[in-house]
Amino acid sequence: MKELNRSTLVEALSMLPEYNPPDELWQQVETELDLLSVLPEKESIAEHLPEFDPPETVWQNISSQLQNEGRVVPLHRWVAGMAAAIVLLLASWWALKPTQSVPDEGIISYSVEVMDPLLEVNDWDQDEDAFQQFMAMCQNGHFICDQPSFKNLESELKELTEAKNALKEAMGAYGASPALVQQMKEIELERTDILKKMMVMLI
Amino acid sequence: MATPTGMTEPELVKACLENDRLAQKALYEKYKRAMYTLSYRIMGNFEDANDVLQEAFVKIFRGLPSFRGESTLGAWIKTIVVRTAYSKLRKEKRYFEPVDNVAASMTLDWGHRLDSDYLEKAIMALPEGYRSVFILIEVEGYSHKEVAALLDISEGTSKSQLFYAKRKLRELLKGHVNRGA
Repeated sequence: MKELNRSTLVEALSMLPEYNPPDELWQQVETELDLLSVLPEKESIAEHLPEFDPPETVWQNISSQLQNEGRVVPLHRWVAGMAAAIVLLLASWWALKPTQSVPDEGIISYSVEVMDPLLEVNDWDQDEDAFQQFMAMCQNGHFICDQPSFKNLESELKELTEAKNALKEAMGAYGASPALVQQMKEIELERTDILKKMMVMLI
Repeated sequence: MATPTGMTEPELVKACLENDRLAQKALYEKYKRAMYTLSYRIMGNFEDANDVLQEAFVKIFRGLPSFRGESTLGAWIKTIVVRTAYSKLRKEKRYFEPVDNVAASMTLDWGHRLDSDYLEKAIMALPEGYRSVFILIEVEGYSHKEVAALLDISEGTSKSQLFYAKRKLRELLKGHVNRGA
């Protein structure tokens, strides 16, 4: 691309106006700096954070998992059983094998997947009340809610919540497959992490 | 170079590292106008420019211990401001405009006189991607290579965005370019 009279553009660019930020902006930077100087002491802040009881289903799931594990058959018994089954199959095939070859009629096979009881428990909405409670602090005009770092966390949380809702819809439509539950678990972990950071800032 | 508090820049940095709030304010005062103008031109509005400047200065004070003096302090601050602004654009999914074939043979004529007020309005009317690259290269003096590294794009994208920015700018300035000698 060729440019004619480029000096005209350069000259006009050098005369573009400049702008001053509003005076309040430094106060906001200062507030954030003050907050940052407090944050390293968040171990003590954590003592004042609310505590939550896990839902009953958590123990039920742990308990049923432990029960299932208790019923595990030792490996050497599996190996012996498999060997016996193979011998039996070979013997049956030898006794019943056809004398003439039969035309291939195709093979039909099927498999059954047993639903993991863990997947049937949808307890990922149980922290929503706590979340709504502390977001009400923002609606009451808490100063920290206007800070960019808080807003960033809020927007990340919003994106994750949207992803969570989309996943919930998919689970409704196709069932809670292990892959979807795993994704939900990852999203919830990220949401919890962000919520924790927002709580620390609010307190 | 003396600063508003009478300190040299290295002294000012040292005082900022010791969390001297007056020194921090002095550093802010020194760069606020240029960085605010840059933020405004990248973001396209003052509200976003406020957020960018605030976030960038907090990052600057937090990151000051990692400033090794490999570039000037001003260049380092500018990099943080540009990255903060661009990260905000990306978060808001305000990406680069897709471009078709670049007509390399095209000629743009800027005429003999260009009104800065019209130019400012035309720049602010450019789509974000075009505008960011145009501002960084034509106003701030970065190279395509530097812009590519700064915005995490290829040099080709930087070049095509600049080309389209200029073409769009020339269109927007139609009627405001004085072709008379």
